[in-house]
Amino acid sequence: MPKYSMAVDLERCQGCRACMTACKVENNTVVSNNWMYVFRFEEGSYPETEMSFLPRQCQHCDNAPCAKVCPVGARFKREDGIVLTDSDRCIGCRYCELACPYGVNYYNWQKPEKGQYDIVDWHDDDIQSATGGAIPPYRNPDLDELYGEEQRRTAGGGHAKGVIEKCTFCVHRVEKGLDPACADTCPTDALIFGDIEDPESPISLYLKDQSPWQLLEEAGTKPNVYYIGGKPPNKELKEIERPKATV
Amino acid sequence: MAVETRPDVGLPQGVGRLTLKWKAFLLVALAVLGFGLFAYGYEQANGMSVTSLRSTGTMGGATWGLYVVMVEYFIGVSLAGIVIAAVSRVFRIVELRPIARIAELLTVASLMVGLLAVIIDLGQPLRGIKNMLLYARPQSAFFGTFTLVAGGVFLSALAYLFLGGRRDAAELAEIPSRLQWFHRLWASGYTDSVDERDRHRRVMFWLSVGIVPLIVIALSTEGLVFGVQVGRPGWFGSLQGPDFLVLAAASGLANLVVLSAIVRRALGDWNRIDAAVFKWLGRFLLVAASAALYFMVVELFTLLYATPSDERQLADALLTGTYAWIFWLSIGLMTLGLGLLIAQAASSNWRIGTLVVASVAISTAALAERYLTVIPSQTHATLLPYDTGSYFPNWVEFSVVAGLFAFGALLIGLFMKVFPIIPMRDHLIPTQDDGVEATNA
Amino acid sequence: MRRTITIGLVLSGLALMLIGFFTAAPWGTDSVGDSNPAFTGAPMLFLLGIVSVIAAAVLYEVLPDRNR
Repeated sequence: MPKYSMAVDLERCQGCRACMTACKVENNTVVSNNWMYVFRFEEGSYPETEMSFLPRQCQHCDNAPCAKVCPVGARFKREDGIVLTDSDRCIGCRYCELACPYGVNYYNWQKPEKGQYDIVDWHDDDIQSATGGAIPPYRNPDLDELYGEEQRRTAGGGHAKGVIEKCTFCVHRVEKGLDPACADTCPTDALIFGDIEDPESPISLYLKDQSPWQLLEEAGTKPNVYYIGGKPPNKELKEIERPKATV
Repeated sequence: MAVETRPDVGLPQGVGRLTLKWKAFLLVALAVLGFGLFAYGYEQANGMSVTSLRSTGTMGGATWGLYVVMVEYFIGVSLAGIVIAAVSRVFRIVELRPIARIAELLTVASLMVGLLAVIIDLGQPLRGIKNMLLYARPQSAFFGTFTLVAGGVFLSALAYLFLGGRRDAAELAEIPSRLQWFHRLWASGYTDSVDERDRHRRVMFWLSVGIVPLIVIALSTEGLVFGVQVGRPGWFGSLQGPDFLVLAAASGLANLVVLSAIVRRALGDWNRIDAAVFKWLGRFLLVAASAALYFMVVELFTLLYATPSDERQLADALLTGTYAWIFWLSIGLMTLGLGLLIAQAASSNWRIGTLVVASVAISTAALAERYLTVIPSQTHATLLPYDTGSYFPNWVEFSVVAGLFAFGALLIGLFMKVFPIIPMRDHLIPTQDDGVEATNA
Repeated sequence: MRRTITIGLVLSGLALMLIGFFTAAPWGTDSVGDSNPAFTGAPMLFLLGIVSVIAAAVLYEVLPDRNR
């Protein structure tokens, strides 16, 4: 059984946020729901300032506090390490959101169609022909499928009002043998995905001679995202250039 | 059977008689409830985005807001009612007998409202009920709310209310009225035989003995909902359970005092709640409010010494920042309430008006304290360096909550019109010579 | 009869609560990994157990005397 993990090389990350966009395109997340988020930090005072970046997706923890508190088992961890949400079972209590120290959970506060980006006219003929007339066109049909041995709707399809969602490591792509959209898109290969149990996998080989650290290690969540280079964030960092982040 | 009735009135304590004042109350309560339902319908149609609630982290909001505060508050209030009813039976505190049913009713009503608030806060309310039955996990602290509070405590309180009222129901069932069928149903064949009284005494004793530890455990799980969270500075800790209980006792007793005072006034000539009742309640409240203030002061001192950066951020928000006015208001009100109680205890002069003022102060302080438990840890205590968040309830949330209060008031108001809210007889603790012709209390 | 029913309900209630508690989620295994109850509806057993115990108290008092 593989164990999927991700390495984030902060020495390579340029903070371009292409991963955020790729995630949004792949998973059709609504405005303000950033399954992948890249902090852009500033430290120090002008002119002695320094910028740094920190991609923050779900850490797919081994000791996932979100899965522990879920009252109905909608949030669960698969054998292959991916922490998922069964959108058919979620009751919208948002307890997982509060249990997670990373702030990676997003609740669907309104109907998905209300939250989609208003950048194109979905009814335009050209758009309709490009999307094959899919209605609604922003809906990736792969996200609606059932996945894993447990055959549960876990890829976040629909973004139904009143349920929680978060990064799925692009489970619908992983099951096809593909990398998550963020890792696939990163122009500097700062995101490396793979089976950490396999010593020959790209991630295992990448981490071999490194000294990775984990986000909020002290919280005891045993994350499956490993950071290389940079340093853990602290309260002295000031976040700059925030994308639109609320409904 | 000797029945406490007046020939010109029929049923006692104004049961079955709809006065103008009561109709006015009904109208107001229904109007508020109606508007609350409208607000909830609006929220259901458009999503919770019409409230002030937002996700924590990048959205910088509070995902649990006023609804969860009210869950904690109402479920907390339920504690005192049933405990007072149980304690008055087990320890035979005769003076508290007149308010035993009010106390039971307060527990039932506040639990109904509190559990309704849980449902209201869910994004998928119907699925919530179904999936809790099918998939609820004991590892989640919510399991306690679902099974012990919604199941155990609520049903025990209903059983308590039902069994405790059978004798009165049997008496009322003999009086011709439009409610006779209801009273017969409630009496469920009760004949007031010596055997029945013995059985009743045994059952009520064991229910009382069982219900106190049950409610303590059940309500502790409410505190644990927060106490087991490592991801939120200010929440994790073993004191959340006891803290919840202590504040629950204070707020519950305070509400019991206010409700008893209202009932006392509403019943007019039928009133049998005398000063002795309030004296007892005042003493209990004094103990509970002292303990609550103690916990608040301990919290204050701990905050003053907060050193880890996340805790410090939270402490600043509470002591001098965004939430300072609520924090100091809650401490001020609790101190004021306690001060009034101490003054009355010292002079042995318990005035109902003063006690009510103290109770309102204590209850408001408890509500503010619940708010401070739930909200600031979400907006001001993220472990990653997200920007500080903000939350203040909007009209939708206030309207829904007002509807909840109206629903609770309606439950109690309607009950008073179908059943005597003060036990008609001194039947709570039958004695050896407690024959069929029991003396009226 | 009354006593038998009461004791029966209390004992079966406690048994249901125990079974419900331990089947509602697999214990002893990785509690995070396994999110499903042993069988769908297991939590209902726990609730049914609570209802049973409380019903025992009510029935003990409400059941009519045999000689009536």
